[in-house]
Amino acid sequence: MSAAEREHLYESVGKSLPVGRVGEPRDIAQAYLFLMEEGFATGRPLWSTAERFWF
Amino acid sequence: MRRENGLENKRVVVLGGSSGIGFAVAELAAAQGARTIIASSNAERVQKAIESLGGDVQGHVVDVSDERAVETCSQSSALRSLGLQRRDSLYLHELATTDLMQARRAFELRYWSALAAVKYGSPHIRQGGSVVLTTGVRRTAPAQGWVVAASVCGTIEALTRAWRSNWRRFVSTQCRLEWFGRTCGRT
Repeated sequence: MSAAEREHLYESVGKSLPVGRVGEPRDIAQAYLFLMEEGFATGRPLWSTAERFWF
Repeated sequence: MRRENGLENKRVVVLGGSSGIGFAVAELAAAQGARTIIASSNAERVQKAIESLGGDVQGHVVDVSDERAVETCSQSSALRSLGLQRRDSLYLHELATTDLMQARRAFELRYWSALAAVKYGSPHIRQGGSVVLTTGVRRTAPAQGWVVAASVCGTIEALTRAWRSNWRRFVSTQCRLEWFGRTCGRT
């Protein structure tokens, strides 16, 4: 996938999400920090996906 | 208010921390007072990232597909947390036209590198520390062309669950993120 195609995908998918945009690196960085500090969340996924579309 | 078990003065290693999500993780960890170490295969990007992050951030040039290099990097010190990011694109092709050697390479970069990092890094992680692995949302809803990529994502989940059971003696936290979004900031 070219950079232009990827950008088009991000724009179109972003509009379909409840939050109106796709995620940025800083969004998931916050999730990383949470998991680093949270000592009770073991062996399970955390979904940082704006909820809709994929599931 | 900062939590008692916050990252201040804890050591955080971000494999793939010179750009994109890994860089953002390193930036946040450093901002919270963590002794942050980034590792990436590209010396120029590592240096640029260190300069951008400032402070006490350290950098290592490591090819995560090289088991011995990962072992050496992991033995450097006690860790609080270990995160792994991949900068390369997912391998997406219809199965009929998939080059299986390239597909193997995708596993090498995304699965085997994660396994090596967990193997060699986990003994050095302090009690209460963590490993955070990253995979993709298409594990559960693969579209056309995602046979190999979704398979890789599935192995990361299996690794997460299996390793947690085997290594809880050393590390109490181990999670995985599923993600859809830009992997690099808009610059």
